[in-house]
Amino acid sequence: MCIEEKKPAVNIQEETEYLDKFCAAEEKIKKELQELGEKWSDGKGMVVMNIQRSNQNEKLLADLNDIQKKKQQIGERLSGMEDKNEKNIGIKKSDKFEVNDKIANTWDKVTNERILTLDPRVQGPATEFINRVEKELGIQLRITTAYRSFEEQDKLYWQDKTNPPTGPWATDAKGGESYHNYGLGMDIVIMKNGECIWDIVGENIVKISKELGFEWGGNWKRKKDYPHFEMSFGTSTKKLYKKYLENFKK
Amino acid sequence: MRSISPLIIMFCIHIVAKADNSTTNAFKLIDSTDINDKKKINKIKDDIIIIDKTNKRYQKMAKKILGHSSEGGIIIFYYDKKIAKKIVFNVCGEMGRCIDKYYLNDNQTLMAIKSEDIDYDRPFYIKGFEIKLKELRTYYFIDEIPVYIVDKNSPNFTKDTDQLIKYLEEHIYPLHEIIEMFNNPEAEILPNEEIPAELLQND
Repeated sequence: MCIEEKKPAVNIQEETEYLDKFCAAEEKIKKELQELGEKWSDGKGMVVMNIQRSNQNEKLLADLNDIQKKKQQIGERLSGMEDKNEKNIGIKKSDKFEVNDKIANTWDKVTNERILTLDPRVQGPATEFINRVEKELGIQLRITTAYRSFEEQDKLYWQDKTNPPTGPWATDAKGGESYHNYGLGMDIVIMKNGECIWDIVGENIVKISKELGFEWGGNWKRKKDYPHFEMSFGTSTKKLYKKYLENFKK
Repeated sequence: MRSISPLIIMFCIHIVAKADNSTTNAFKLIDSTDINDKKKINKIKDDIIIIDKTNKRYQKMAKKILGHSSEGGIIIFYYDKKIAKKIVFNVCGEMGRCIDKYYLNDNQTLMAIKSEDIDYDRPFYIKGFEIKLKELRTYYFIDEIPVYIVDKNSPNFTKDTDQLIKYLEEHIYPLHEIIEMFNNPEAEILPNEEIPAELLQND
């Protein structure tokens, strides 16, 4: 074989380059074999038409066989790399959310992972929000929490009501009473040199969020929640919970 | 808890709302250097102490309110002989919470609001969060006009009249809005065991 493969290739790009080279070599051999009177079915092995093979044919067939095996090995390695990559950013093939190049492609892996826990309608605007703030204002934001399960919310609700309490009083919302429980709410923090800066977010950041359709927690009249952004789509948590129960019964 | 007739509750709420509309829609600030005002404020202070001390004897009804903060809230009405005496309003956010206590006269007009704000150093769902700031302010109402008193716990708060009025309008719910929240059919009655202990404590 004329193609030297430096094994193991370390990344998807390198493996893909090898694969391209093997594909080109495979095509070349097939063409040569065709000229020599061989015939095959696509991708399913050779169909021998010429019984009297020359040595040249044998050599080409061996090369072809070798190339096809290596192609298969590269394909398997690539598949493994993709699985690993998916695992790193929290995506599973079984997840209901579809991943495309416009969603969860921010500067921050943690944020990408959390965006994918949001309601599908919010994932796009959330991605755009983080990317626009970085591009237009030079500020890197991280999503600190997005979806919160009913169980997690209940745990936080009851922690001060047990005897003895397991935590301080901090929330009046049970599981199902927060927009976070439906993937419709998210909290952000400014990141600077790897540190979380829990400052009040600036008006310019809020302006971008508003343009994308978010409601800002800093607009609450009494207790302002500066890191909180949500998309309620005009539905109260009470109605969402009712719908959740109906679906659960079904 | 003894049951309270919904009709009586509605009646009391109606009276409070009617009496309050004329005072809290526009907060006005007066200079309370007048000796008579000081006497009136002292009288209100005494009344508040009595209300807080007799808290436990009052009938109470708590309701959960949603849609006014990210982490929900609670309103508790305290009744003495079927007359509302005190209303506790609380909302929780991810970076803090607040507790506002509205004190009412026998004639169901507002005499004071004690307003407490608590800020955390990071969101409550991050383990190890701590209280960063605690502020308590009291607004007294004389002859249906609010008088702002700067509390010793919040010395940095501005004394500029215009800013104070703006602050009150932007940050404190007028009593009639609290009553509307309580009367909202979506506001569910909260069982006593689910009321945070801190909300039931007296000052």
